[in-house]
Amino acid sequence: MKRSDAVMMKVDMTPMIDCVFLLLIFFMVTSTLHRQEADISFALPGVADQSEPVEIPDEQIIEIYEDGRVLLNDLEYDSPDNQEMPELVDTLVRFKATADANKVEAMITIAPGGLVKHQRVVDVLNACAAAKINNVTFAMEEDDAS
Amino acid sequence: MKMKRKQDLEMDVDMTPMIDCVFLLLIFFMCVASMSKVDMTPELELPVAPKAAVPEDLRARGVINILPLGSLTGSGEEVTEQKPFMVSGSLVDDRGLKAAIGERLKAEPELRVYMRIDRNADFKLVRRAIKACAEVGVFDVIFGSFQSSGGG
Repeated sequence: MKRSDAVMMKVDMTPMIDCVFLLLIFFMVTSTLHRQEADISFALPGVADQSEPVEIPDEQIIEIYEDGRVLLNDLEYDSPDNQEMPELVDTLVRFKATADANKVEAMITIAPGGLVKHQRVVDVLNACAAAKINNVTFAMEEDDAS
Repeated sequence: MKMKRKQDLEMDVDMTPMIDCVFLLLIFFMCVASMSKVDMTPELELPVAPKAAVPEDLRARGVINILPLGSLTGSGEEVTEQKPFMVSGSLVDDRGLKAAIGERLKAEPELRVYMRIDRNADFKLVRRAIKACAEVGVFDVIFGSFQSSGGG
């Protein structure tokens, strides 16, 4: 068996680099394909310490029905398949402005029926976020809006 | 002026720093790819909310996945009315969900529950999950969503 020193010293790196580049590109592509997720939040009714008497905020109830209809204080807004809900957003913006002028907190309670699809609930949450209303909560009892 | 060039230097470029860099990048992307899979069920289609905010603070998040009733999970289990919540890759019922959240809450008192809910899931499941969170004592609940309806 004969071994030349020159071969030992200079290992051919090319195939390894090829492989590594391939893996690198693969992982880069798969990591960028992953869509970024975003948050849409609401507040759960919880117990908070109160040092002063609480001013009762102006509360509005939004009902959502299975067929996609959205009712704010028993008035229907937008068509059931409209995801942007411009009418509802307009109304909520005005409601928020009024609440701010009266120095009370704008509060929204969403009461979706049990069979309402989650996308519709998120549409309404999105409308609230568009009107910059942060105090959104859910009606926890199964009600007649189903 | 005399320009002198070494032929030898041109012939073998030192590859070592480049390979170092490439390996570093490779390991980085491998880690990112495996980390992003933690408790994120891929078969789930999040709802779209253009006004949702991309979070900066990702600490202390417990993930609950909710798929529509009747759909199959990655491991072939069917989502039923009894066991609709998916936590760490397995389906659990209300009691299991509460136990899982309670356990996380002990380890992380500032736990926030991140709900990844399919856009076609019924709200009654969400209501049950919210109720379970409230009963355990977690009031910070977040819904996951996509900002745009683009492909992917």
